[in-house]
Amino acid sequence: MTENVCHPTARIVLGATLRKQLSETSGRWWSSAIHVLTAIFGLLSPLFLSRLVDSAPSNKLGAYAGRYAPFLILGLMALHFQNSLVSSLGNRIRQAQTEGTLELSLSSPTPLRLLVLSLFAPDFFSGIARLLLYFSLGVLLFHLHLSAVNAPALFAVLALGTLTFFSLSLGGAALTMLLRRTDPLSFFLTVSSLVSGGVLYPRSVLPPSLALLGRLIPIAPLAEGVRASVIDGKNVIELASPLLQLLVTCAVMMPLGLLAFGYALRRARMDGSLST
Amino acid sequence: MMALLEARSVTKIFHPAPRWRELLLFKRSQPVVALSGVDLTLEPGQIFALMGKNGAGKSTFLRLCSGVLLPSSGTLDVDGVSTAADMSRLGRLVGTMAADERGLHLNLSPQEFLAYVAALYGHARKAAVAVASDQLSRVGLAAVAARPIGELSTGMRRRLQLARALLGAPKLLLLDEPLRGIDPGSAEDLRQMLIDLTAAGTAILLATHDLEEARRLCDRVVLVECGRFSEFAPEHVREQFLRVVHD
Repeated sequence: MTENVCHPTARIVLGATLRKQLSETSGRWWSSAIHVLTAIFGLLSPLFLSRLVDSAPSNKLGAYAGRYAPFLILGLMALHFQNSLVSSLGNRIRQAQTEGTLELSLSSPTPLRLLVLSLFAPDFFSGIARLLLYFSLGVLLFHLHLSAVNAPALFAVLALGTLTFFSLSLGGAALTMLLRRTDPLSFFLTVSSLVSGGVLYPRSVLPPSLALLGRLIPIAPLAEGVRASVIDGKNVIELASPLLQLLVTCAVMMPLGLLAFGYALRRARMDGSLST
Repeated sequence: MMALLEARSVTKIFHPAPRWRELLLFKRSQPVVALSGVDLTLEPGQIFALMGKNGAGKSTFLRLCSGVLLPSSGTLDVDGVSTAADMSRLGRLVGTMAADERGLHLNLSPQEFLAYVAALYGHARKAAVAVASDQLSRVGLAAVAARPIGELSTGMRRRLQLARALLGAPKLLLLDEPLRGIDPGSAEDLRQMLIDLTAAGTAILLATHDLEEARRLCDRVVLVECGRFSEFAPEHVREQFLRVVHD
């Protein structure tokens, strides 16, 4: 009989989860290929739209007048990064509930925080892969020049964005456990981000009520920070405003997300709904 | 001897989610009493069988013991650890085999699946692979170690679930109809394995409908009737069980 003396560490658990994920997806390579093709073909409409807009530059684009193509691809990149991270835990938990694997994972000696991180990790890496794809397509098709990129500023924006989206993902997972449905939070965020987040157009064109909504959702400082660090090469100090906004959102949402997740888990243990 | 599992006055009441009709009429859905005032003590090395009609509360009690379900009232302790505590604390103590075949990653092979589970028990990569191989040999699945789980038969999947339950060398095994779907030869091997485990001090609580299995394997049999427990010696279980089933 195996002696029970080992302790699950982050390295062991995350490594095993990523290997499991790779094994599962390698058996469905065509599914991954379809995802990549969908991402590429999904950018065709924005590509032609950006060419149309750039052919007659508008002053409403402000500093990005005549540079709508890189503005758009970086906005879309921020949106997809947000979507894949915010929906991560909700989707993974729902899948594990229906497959019956959630109860078994939770009743292993791995601490809950590590299990949650291991659920989030595959989507984080897939989000990073998608960022790289968007950067590559941006350079190839959207006149994105990487010569001005301020890497530390970009890293800071993406790191804070990841923490913020992780905290929102915890809230989404809590809703998934409570409602036993795919979480509505990521749907709300996607829609509000598209309308008010400054993804497709600058927030300055919005009426005041929608502009206010845009100031509350985290995609706005993320997109602003990514564009400023990549296109304008601004440094961390020059990006203080969006970084602070992301930091405050994260500081508010992280404890709320953790509390909501803990409450939902206890409620699911009470209802017996961890596997339904 | 100190009890390994101690259940005191455990009651479990489910409150089903209200349907639209009930919501519109401001009615509450009827609560379902699954277990009522249950007491049970299990010592190391003992095997108890839970028997009863479908829906009697056997699986609910097993899930309460594993901590995935919380009692409405009463307490359950495994080796002094409350099941209401953080589930990862119970992970070292309890191994669970559910009644259905869910909980398996169907796109993985048994080797990959058990290596992943071994990592959740803290085994580093090479050790996890070795532990997975050992467990597969133990339950007679070494020959199909590399095949996708989705392609395995029901009996093979049940054996894989048993291997998963045994992986952490638990002090308490919770088995829900463990030999269902397993061929007679393999079932005999697995019965012997359970007897060997109890000889080594593992306590086993198993839910079963098989009178013969309960009579041959178990120290005591608990009949579950409408959420209440009554204990019998295995030699007296037949007439009691038939009474419950026919009532």
